[in-house]
Parts: sequence; C-alpha cells; structure tokens
Amino acid sequence: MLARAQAGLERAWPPLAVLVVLVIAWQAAVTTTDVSPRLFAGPTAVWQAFVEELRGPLLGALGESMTALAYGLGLGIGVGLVFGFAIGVSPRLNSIVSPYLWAVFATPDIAIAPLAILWFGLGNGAKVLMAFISVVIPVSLNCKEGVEAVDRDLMEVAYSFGGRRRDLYRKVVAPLIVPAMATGIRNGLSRGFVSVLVVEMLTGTGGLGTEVIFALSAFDSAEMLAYVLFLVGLALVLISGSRAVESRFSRWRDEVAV
Amino acid sequence: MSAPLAHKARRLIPARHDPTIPKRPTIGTKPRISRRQVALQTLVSLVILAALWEGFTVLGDVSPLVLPRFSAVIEQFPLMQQEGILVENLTISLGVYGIGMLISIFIGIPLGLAIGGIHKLDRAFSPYLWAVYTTPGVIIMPLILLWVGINDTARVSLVVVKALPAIAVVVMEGVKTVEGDLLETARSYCASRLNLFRHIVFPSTMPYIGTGLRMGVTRGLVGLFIGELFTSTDGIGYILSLSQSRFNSARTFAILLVFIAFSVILVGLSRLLERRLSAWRGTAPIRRRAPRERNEL
Repeated sequence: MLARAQAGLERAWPPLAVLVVLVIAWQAAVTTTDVSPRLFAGPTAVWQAFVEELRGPLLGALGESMTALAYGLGLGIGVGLVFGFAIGVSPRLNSIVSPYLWAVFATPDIAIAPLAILWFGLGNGAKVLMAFISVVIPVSLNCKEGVEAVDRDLMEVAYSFGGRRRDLYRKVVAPLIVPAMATGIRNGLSRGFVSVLVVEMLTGTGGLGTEVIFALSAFDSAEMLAYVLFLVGLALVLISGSRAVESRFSRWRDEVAV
Repeated sequence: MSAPLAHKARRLIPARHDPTIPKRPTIGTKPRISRRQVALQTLVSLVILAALWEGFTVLGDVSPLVLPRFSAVIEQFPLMQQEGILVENLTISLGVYGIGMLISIFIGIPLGLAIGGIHKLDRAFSPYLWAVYTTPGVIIMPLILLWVGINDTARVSLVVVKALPAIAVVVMEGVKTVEGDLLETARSYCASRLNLFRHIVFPSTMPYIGTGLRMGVTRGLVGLFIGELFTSTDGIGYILSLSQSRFNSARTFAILLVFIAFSVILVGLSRLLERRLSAWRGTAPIRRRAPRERNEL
C-alpha cells in the first residue's frame, strides 16, 4: 500500500509543482507590477474574498443554480431517453427528425438563451427551460446512436431462441444502450450547467452567474476571481464525477469520448 | 383440410404477410436510404415545418411577441438588407471567428503535439490542459471582459479560449496513441527525431487533428456567440441585442436562423474535413491506450 501511495505521489508531483509555481508567479506579478488591485488581485486577496463570499451569498447562489440544473436535467433525461429511443427504433421517424436535432445540436445552446428569456421571462423558468433544451438534445442523440448500434447478430440470436418483442427490448436492447445513455447524460450535464450559468449572467436572476456579473460590474476583481475559480472547481467536480459514472456504466466498452 | 393440402395453402401467402410468422427485429439495421432521398426528405420536412409555423401563428391565438409569423421573420431579411446591416455585421462576425480560429489552430496543434509527445511536458501540463478544456467558456468570459475590455479583441480571445484547448487536447491524446512499433522500427533505421516526427507522428496524428479541428470549430462558434451576446458593439450579436431590446421578435428569430444556418454549414464542413483526414482510419472511434503503453519520442 505504501508503494501505491508512493507511485501516486510520483505521478502527482509535476502538476502540483506547476501549480505552486503558478501561484508564486501570480503573487510575484501582482506585487512587482503596480497594477491596481481592483483590476488584478493577488492570491491572498482572492482567498480573503472567497472566505467572505462563503459566509455570504455563495452557498445560496449555489443552491439556486443547482436546483434549476437538477430540474432541467431530470426533465431532459426523461424526455430525451424516450424520444431518443423512439427515433432509434423507427428509421422513418429518424429521417424526419434527425436533421432538426443535428441542426440544434450544432448550434450553441446559448443561441437559444434569448428565446428562452423572451418566452419565460426573467426567472427560474427560463433557466430550467435552457437546461432542459441543453440536456434533451445530447441525451436523445446519444440514445438514438446507442439503439442504432445494437448488434444485429445479438438480436438475431435472441430471436432464434424464441425471444419476441418484449424480451428483445428488455434483455438485449436495454442493457446494450446503457453506455450510450451514460455518455449522453454526461454531455447533457455539462451543457446544462453552462446554459444555466449563461441565463443567470444574462438576466441577473440569482445564482452563481449573477454573482459573477455583480462582481464584474463592481470592478471587484478579487471577488470575481474567487467566484470564477470556484466555478472552475465546481465544473471540474461535476464533469469528472459524471465521467466516472459514465465509465462505470461503460466498462465493457473501452472507448473514450473526448 | 388434410395435412398435404394445408401445407399448400400456407405456401400461397408470402412470408411477410403471414400472420402466424412473427416479425423479425429491425433494430440494429441501418435504413438503406440514398443520400439524395435524405436531402429531398429534409427539404420536404423544412417546407412542412414552415407551413406549420405559419399556420399555427395565423390561426392560433399566439402573441406575435412570443412567436412571430414565419412570413414576418422572412420579411426581415430584405428589410435588414435594405438597412444595410445584415451583410456588414455578418462579415464582421465571420472575421472575428476566422481570426480566432486561425490563432487557435496555429497555436493549438503544435501545443498538443508538444505536450502529447514530450513525456515530461505531458506529466506536468496535461492535467491543466484538461482542466482548461473542461471549464465552460462562460466562466472565463467575465475575466476577459475585465482585462481586455469590450471590443473586438475580447471576442477573438473568447473564440481562442474556447477553441484552442479543444484542439490541443484532442491532438495531445492523438499523439499518445501513435503505434510504438512504428516508432521503434523507425528508430532501428536510425531515424532522427525530426524524421520520426515528419514521417510517423504527424501522419498518424492526422485523424485526431481532423477531430480536433471539428471540435475546435464547434466550440469556437460557442465562444463567438458568447462574445456576440455580451460584447455587442457590432456583428450579429449587435443586431440580436438591438432587436431584443426593441421587442422586435421577428428580427430576433431571423438572426437566430442566420446563426443556426451559419453553425450548421461550418460544422458540416469541419465534419467533411475530419472524414477526409480520417480516411484510412475507417469509422473506428478514438481508443485510449493504457498509460504504460504510451511511447516517448
């Protein structure tokens, strides 16, 4: 076990060293150049601002953003799975709907943000709608691809052994599309997170994005950097978490989606 | 009926109409539709969508603010052309995007090659590259606005910030999958580092460069749009926020359609490029090798 810890440390020290060097360089840059602390705050100022924000509005804002994301994610996954499955199973439906799905997938989700704000006004509705749209598209597309990638041979074997529609779907198709679903959910989660942030930044309706914009308009770079770094950390946690869940469900499929 | 006669009766019904034979599963089969048919179907469904849109807004009780009529949206195009704002702003946005993408490509590809190829750099910097790649661009946007200001440079920086990490990360992962056997063979034939690079690493990484370019194009578009939304002094975002604040829904929709068309065309082109560069790879997905199989250059 000590060997494993040693090996882990050996692997981790170069990036940690780079991090320490970066922080030192940051502090040095701030103290040597005569830049205004409002424009470019040093690490100590940012840490102080972070602690202050933690006691203040940060946790509430976090709760607001995450609630909206959770609602959008739940609805998006529910609808996306059903929709994606339907499209994957029926080639006719696929050829009708696919071009639109791909068009919306290619368009940045935030292009739809002004529309969402126009329809649902300045409130949680727009956030949930944006999260829903950002989640539903990748989930449906991935589910469709999962259904299409079901091995025909496996279906034929099950059919030859007397399996009919219900058994085929339950015992062959469903397990085979779980990895694709996991990929879609991971994709949807990161896109949904970004959409919620964008709507919050555009409309100022509470949540982490709004706090960042407040700090920006107050030209308080320490507070803004604190929020930005917190958001970066949050994004990393969410995305690596969902990646871990995805690989857990894709164990028999050794591809990595970049 | 006696047995032999019953046998004959069944053979008169073709298999696909015989109700006693269960249907074969169709999941897993790709529909055999020609490309021309797909194009035709797309065109037809677009026309149907336009007709439904128009019908719904004319017959239904929909406020024109929420969903303007399709004809009203289409009218905006010649109107904007008359006002002389459409083409001019479109060109500005395209220019910003083009410059940002050029910078991302010319810095991203070498960066990816370097970090992926040189083991020490890889150990030190690849976690940060992945971190920057996974961070959503909207989070970095306020920083850019604070430090660069609200101008064209900020928008170019946003495109670069979104596109460059994507290109670099994909190229970096691609370099790591270069076949060790090929490298060893080349080394046995006394290949210099430069030759190794030119003749083995670079061609082998081509498909990943293609994929990286495609991802860069998509993310660059997102960066462009974020910039347009938040720093709208000119370009498409300018028209968008102007029409939004004046509650000109038809124009908002028109600009969004322009943007969707723009995105679809660019992403489609980049996918074609990716497919050309991946010609020898077939449709195999990107596979990640175990860390101990990574090769040093």
